[in-house]
Amino acid sequence: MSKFSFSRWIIVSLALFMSFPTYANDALRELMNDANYWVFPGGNYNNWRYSELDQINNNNAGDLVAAWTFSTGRLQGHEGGPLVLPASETGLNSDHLYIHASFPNDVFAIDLETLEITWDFVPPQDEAETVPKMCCDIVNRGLGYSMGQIYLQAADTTLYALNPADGSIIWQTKNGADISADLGGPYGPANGMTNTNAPHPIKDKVLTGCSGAEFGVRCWFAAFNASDGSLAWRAFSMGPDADILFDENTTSMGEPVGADSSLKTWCAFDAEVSTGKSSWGENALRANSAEERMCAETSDQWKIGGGSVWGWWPADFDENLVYYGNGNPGTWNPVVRPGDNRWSMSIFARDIDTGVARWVYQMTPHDEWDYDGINEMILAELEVNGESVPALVHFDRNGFGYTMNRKTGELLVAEKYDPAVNWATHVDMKTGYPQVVNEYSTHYNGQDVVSKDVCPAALGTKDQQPAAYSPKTNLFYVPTNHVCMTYEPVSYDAGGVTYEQAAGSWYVNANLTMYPAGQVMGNGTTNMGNFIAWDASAGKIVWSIPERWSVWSGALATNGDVVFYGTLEGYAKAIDASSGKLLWQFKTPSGIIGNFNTWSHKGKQYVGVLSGIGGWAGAVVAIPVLRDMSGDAALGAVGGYRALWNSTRNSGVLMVFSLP
Amino acid sequence: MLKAVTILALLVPSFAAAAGFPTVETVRMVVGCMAGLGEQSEENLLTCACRQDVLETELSFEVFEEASLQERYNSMPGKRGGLFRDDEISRENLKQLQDARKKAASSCPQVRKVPSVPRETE
Repeated sequence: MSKFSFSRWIIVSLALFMSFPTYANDALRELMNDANYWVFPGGNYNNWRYSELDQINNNNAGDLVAAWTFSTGRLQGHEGGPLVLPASETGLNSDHLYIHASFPNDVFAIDLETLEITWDFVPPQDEAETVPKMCCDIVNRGLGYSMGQIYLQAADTTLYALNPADGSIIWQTKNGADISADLGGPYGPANGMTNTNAPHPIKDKVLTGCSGAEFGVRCWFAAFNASDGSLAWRAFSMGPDADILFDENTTSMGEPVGADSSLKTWCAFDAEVSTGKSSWGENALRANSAEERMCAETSDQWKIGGGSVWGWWPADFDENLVYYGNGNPGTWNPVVRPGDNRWSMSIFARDIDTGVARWVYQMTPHDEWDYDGINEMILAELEVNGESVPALVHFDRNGFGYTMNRKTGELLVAEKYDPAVNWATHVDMKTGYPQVVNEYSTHYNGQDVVSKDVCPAALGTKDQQPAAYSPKTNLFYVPTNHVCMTYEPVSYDAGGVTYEQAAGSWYVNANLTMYPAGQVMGNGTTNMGNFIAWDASAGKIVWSIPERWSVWSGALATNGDVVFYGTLEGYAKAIDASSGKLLWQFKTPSGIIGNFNTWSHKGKQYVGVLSGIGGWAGAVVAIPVLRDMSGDAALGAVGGYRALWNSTRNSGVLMVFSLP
Repeated sequence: MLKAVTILALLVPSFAAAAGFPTVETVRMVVGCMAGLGEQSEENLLTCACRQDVLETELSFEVFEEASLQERYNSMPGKRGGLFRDDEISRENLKQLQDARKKAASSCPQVRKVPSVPRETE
């Protein structure tokens, strides 16, 4: 056998090996183009949440009525939305809708022919262990689908691949249990690691995240092989380059980040000089000088550094990149962790196959307000400054709307998408560094000092609730918060949980109060939310609809020139995509924090959304600590009203609307 | 003239929606009230309909909506609940709702039912 033929054999085998994922991915992308179905959380791999369906349009949306409903029977917050798959993908005889619930994360397959449950699956989870380690309501953001498998990322970190025909488990793996002790593992609910994100199937992998930044977890983004659930790669948010999968080609703002880019930015905390005003220096100094940001001495606080990952992630297959953002550095008291705390609060572009970062951008260096960077990334071809750009658009918790070149990581636009935002005057477009205002710097003001009137509040100008993009109007439709806060970092002396005590237990160390941004702006308004249309090329608000409460639902845009969103009062709303004019509203049984999806069945277009924010009735049932309390202790003076909410099934309800 | 008519036409439905309780909410409240009293029965319907009338007189739907959000959501853990716990307007509205409930309960005592079965004698 000649040497030539041997190497050709290798090439052929490699080609065969490589072709499988490409094929699997192509099939899913083709299915994504069929507007009759909804097969990926964000609708398509660009995360547009846009549908080509136009049966419901801006002329007839006012006629929408409830078509059918489905109660999940579970309490607490219901985020995410349903998947709708054709019979050909599921091994069943008819099209099916797949919907999930809050803890314990049931999955239901609903036959769209009969509106009956074909199967349900309840992952076995240890409630007493898992629920107390979930910082912010026991939500789940939904399901993923690829290669004949439904994926569920359960709260207790178990990632399941289920058979769409019968709900049987094809494989399961624990996301984090495999991490060795020298990397801080194994991670699981026992030491503060849980999951809330939807699993995102991309190519031959299933991507998933990590929650637990409030529990001293060093979080990560992981890719599991869809074929068998084995780990393909894992990229930590902070730590040595080998852990965060950075190499010599990884850039930030167009420059290589160099070795140990994360480790250098976790400075030692000197308790002697950290009382009162900051030892970290004037914000203006460090904003404009990389040297001012250097640590005299580093620490190993990155080992419990946070940087959780629980958003919505798109992919660019021409570049073979997946994009995501991560969350806050551990403990909310910034004084004890001087340094930029890289790479928390950052946007990453990683190679889908290897996980190696091509570029990274830290939006909020040295977070002092809990402005997590986890919000969705949306990919679109935009014209910026007269040039066509492969763009990535991101609405950050910190109140800036970013437009970046998704191939290079170049920062193109960074503008406030709520005029109330005041913690920074602007983002320096050369360095990418936000120019923090001392008055609103909780580190500058110091520990055990209340910083007042900081905008936005820790909720962010927007949280995970995903925006939509319409290629027809070229606008981004963004659900937002319009809330400010007081923020008091709690020192160790005043009872803050220490670094040594932190791993696996609450590690927050801050007191907050929140109120409408109008109180700070002095304009007499009381609305705590807005639903806005955003021009990401110019970085400008086109129009803004005030809402009394924060808008926590995901948006949906359609080819019928209608945009859907929901409110905490429970209204499902349809507005005109161009003008924002209200076309229709419907009061659902609970507040809406789910995402609107649309599909069609037998020629009829449907719009579905989960209604169910949870609340006290849920808290009592679902949270063990509260369940053991007396009614008054848990609920305050609400008396016998418990019965009302129980009787009206204050659980998650999938509301489905159509024309009559 | 045409303009004035259009404006009126636009105003009327939104005003009506702000002032009155939507049917779906009234029914939901009455059904919930009956469940709280133990069962759906003619007597409990009378009690609850009476109480509902008092509530709807005492409160605008807007205030009720604000108050019930406060009541349902303020014990949510974390930042989310904080949004409600810290909101002064809805806390005040919740006080109004609680006062209206007290008034409704005192104005409409529970209608008793005489059992149709004779008492057993020893």
